[in-house]
Amino acid sequence: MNDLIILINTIKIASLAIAISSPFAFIVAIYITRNDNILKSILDFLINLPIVLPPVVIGYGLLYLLSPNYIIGSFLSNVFQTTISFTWIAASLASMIVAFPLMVRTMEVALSNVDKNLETTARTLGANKIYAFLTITTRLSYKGLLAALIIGFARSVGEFGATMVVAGNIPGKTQTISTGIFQRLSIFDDSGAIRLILFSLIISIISLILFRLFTRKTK
Amino acid sequence: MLNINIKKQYKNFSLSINTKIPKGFISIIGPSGSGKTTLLECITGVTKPNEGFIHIFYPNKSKKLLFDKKKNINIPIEKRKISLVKQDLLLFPHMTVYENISYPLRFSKHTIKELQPKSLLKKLQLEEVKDKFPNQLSGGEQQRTALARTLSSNPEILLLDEPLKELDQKLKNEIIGLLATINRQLGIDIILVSHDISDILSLSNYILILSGGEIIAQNTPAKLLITPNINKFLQLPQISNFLTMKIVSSNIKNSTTILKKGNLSLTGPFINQAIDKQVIVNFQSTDIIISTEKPINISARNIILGKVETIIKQDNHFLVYLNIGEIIVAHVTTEALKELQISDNSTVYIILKTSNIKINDIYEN
Repeated sequence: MNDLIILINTIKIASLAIAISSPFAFIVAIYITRNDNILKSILDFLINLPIVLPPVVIGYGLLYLLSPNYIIGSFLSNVFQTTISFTWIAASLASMIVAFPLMVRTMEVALSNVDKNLETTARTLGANKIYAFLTITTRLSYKGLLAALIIGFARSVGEFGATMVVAGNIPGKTQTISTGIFQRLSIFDDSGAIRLILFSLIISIISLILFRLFTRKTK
Repeated sequence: MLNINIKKQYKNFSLSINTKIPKGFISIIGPSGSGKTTLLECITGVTKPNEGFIHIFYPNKSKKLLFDKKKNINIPIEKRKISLVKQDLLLFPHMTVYENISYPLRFSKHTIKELQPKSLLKKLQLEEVKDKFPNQLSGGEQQRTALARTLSSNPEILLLDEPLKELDQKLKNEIIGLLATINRQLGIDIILVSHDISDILSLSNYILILSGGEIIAQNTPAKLLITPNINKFLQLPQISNFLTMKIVSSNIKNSTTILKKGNLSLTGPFINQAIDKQVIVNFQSTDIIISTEKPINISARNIILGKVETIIKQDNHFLVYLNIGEIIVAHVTTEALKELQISDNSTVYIILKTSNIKINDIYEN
């Protein structure tokens, strides 16, 4: 039962992370593929930052921002009389930040694989900018875009360091597969840890198979 | 048709165009990097000029502004009603032939029967491949699909960027015939960009020659051919002549087809098509023989009485423009012309072998 709660929590946290971050990742990926300016360079830098930063640092940064003494935390505290540190939402936020770069980069590859001239051709045939983008570029890159969601989800599921710092490892609340494995190993519950490791393996294998399916080049 | 006065500046290249392009079949020629494609992109709206204006003018003297820097007008690509077919065709790979052709109708439904997808499929002989995807089509089918898709958008002007480059002669003839049909039968103005004009010279009623981002000459083909220093751009090994004719009869026993247009009658090779069907007939300028006397006991089936319109000297030969009810161009060597002693308005006999006539049979009335 405990295992199931951990599994559900993990999926819930990862799903929220992907649901919220994917539209932003999509917008950023579009901007990066279509522009070559200073903002693109800044975005590139910011997107790469979570990849090289230790997750613990990201977690600490989040904890800092969500504290009632700082802008986001004080806003939540004053307006909603709530705090999200050490809740599953904080775990989602941490997952979101570590998964975001992977999603953006995968989406960027998917979008840039579509010949931009196809969209221009659609416009000469009467399609407006948005319709041409949706019916041509998005339609042709949808598999790559889905692959970005899968890889982002898999990364979220595996998130550990940032989650531990900002959301803790509270059984039944913020405990995920990764933090659960850590906790069980630390109390020498090997069989419990192996069950969670198996969950983790299954999710990773399914994710990789789906990723491969979506990124496979059609012959 | 188009009034263009624009400047476009890049780091290493600048385009400066000031011209009034008439209606019809217009060719833009020039070496690589002369600005031909940039000019087309400015007309479609893909590229925004740094200054100037582009407008379409109509016979009733009204005009439609496409771009005007001073008035801060830049009509979006999709509202210009100018279609562009590039050399790489850019068919939508996730759509079938039919879906590709129907795509423009999602935005503007028109009632022109000839330009409806079903009619275009039939006209361009694409009915059998309508459910296929672009990667399942032959080169010719892809070209025809791209043209059909463009036509279904009912464009005011059709722009073609190097549509004949790297095509074999058979496919070239097919596409040229199709372009002639689009221009002559459907009345759609065409601007075609090419680095090689030999295949389209006889179709063009106006030619622009670009070099280094500027127009160095513009006029009718005949006038350009006699312009010193310019005719070197038009030194051609041969010119294709195109005529739109009707099939009067075809005889499988004799392996011949009789074609007619007005008083002009030609005997071409057998083609299995319905009587009265309109076809595009083409033959090369180098296949024409000119005689000042009517030949007798000759195997060639086509002996046509015509009049010399004008004779234009090229490097080592002459181009003779002949009126046979239509204007055609013949190549004549310097020596032959000397012996023939012909000049403008001379009456001559034009001799053409049946086997030198190509009939493009892909178009319906």
